[in-house]
Amino acid sequence: MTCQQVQSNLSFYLYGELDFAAEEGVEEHLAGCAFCQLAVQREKSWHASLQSESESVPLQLLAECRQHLSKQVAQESEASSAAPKVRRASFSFTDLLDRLAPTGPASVFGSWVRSPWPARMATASFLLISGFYLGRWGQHDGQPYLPVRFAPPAQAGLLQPYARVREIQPDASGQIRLSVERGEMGQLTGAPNSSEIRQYLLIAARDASDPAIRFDSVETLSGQTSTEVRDALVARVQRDPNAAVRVKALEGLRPFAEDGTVRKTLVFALQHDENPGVRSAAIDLLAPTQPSVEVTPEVIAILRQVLSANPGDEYVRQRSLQVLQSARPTQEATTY
Amino acid sequence: MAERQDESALIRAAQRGDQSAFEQLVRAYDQNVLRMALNLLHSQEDARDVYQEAFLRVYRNLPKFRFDCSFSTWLYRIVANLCLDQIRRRKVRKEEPAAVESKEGEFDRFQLVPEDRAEVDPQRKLLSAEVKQRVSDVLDQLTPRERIVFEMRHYQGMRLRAIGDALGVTEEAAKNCLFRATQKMRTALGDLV
Repeated sequence: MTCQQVQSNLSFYLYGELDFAAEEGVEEHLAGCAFCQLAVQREKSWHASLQSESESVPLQLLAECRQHLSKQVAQESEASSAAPKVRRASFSFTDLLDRLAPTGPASVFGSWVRSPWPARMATASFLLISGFYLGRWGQHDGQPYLPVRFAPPAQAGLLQPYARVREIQPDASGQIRLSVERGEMGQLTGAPNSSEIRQYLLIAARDASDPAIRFDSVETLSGQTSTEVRDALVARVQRDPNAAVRVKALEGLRPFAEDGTVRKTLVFALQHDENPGVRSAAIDLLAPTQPSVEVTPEVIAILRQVLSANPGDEYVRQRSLQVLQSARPTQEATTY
Repeated sequence: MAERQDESALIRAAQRGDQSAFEQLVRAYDQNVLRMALNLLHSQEDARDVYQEAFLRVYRNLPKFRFDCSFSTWLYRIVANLCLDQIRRRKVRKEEPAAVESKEGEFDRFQLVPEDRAEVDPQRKLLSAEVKQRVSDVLDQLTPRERIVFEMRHYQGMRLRAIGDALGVTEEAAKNCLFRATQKMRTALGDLV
């Protein structure tokens, strides 16, 4: 290093911001250059003079700031909890009909409807039918509330309306602690494979707003071998917008690698997922690295297809070649 | 790592509405935030405003914090932007009088911050008024960004990468800014020490 290079890096050297090689270069130069040694001393001196000019924090000011902040936060917290609830307009089915048909022939219908039981039956039927269809629609991702609200009767006792998992924490004893918001926040602790915990984890795996919660829930569900867990993990691989969640879900599908539905999902991910990490995880599941694991003709056909479709994906290509060559070394080690 | 996990747990608790967790988070950072604001703005009133606004913004937006950066990066980003806004709103400092009128009489600006702590840096007492004035003058010559980068590196001890994250620039850009700031400081103060 030259003197000019050393002197232009002096402050970075003193701040420890130089990389290893640059720092070595400076120190080597300093060992043999008295001029630059003097420059370092002057640099240290003005650094020190500035340090002493730093404003110390007056404790009185700090105390006042904390007090004022505490008051502001308490006011904002009160204001948000006292926010007026939305008042629903009172709705009368018969009033509506009266407005629609006050006179004329329709008023006969109106008068029929005005009698209590037909109106009530009609309203109840309307609610049941719309509830059924909303529940069916609510199975789509992005609405964790609806599947819970219109959950099948078998689950109704476990699930509260508008349940939402906010946090998943394993503890040292192997249990899982969930923070669940059910109108207000609550906590649930149990074994990861307990039915209640699993149901909430399955809800959390569909939480559209929080990829971290989806990731944690998929990770916690991994290792469980029930059909509903398998289906939840498959759904994540197919639909989750976050690549880390998709990879974690793929890892969780390891116990199901021989299952037909899962195979199709792996193939789909291998051929269509935009993320190379996801594609790599998919091929590692389809074609495991352990030599003792047999590779079926079906997988061989898939890998041939993958090779011809994804020539640019190096890891996938290498893994596919490796499997094909070990499967049938004399016939497959040709032109890919 | 354990410290980071504790902080994550505090943040999650505060996100769930735990006021004491929020207070602990504030206490972990508020002295540095106030110090930074005082160093940059040299006004208790302005520093107080920055403190209040920064932590209120944290309080209001904490539910949306998704751990995609560290909490300190997020907080310092808010503080840096507030200080930058304040610096830019002010008149150029050379137009401000060095002496300030108060009911107790005229004071040098550097004496306005009362030293309440019993243990005062002895080196501070030995420095001449000339050095103080030179330091003040050269800090005025720095652009707002250079001042903030210099403050964060020199006084807050933040790494260049963290400074870049906080200001929304690359590490290289923060490094170039610091280079310019230290060159100006060296030129102004090199002959005094």
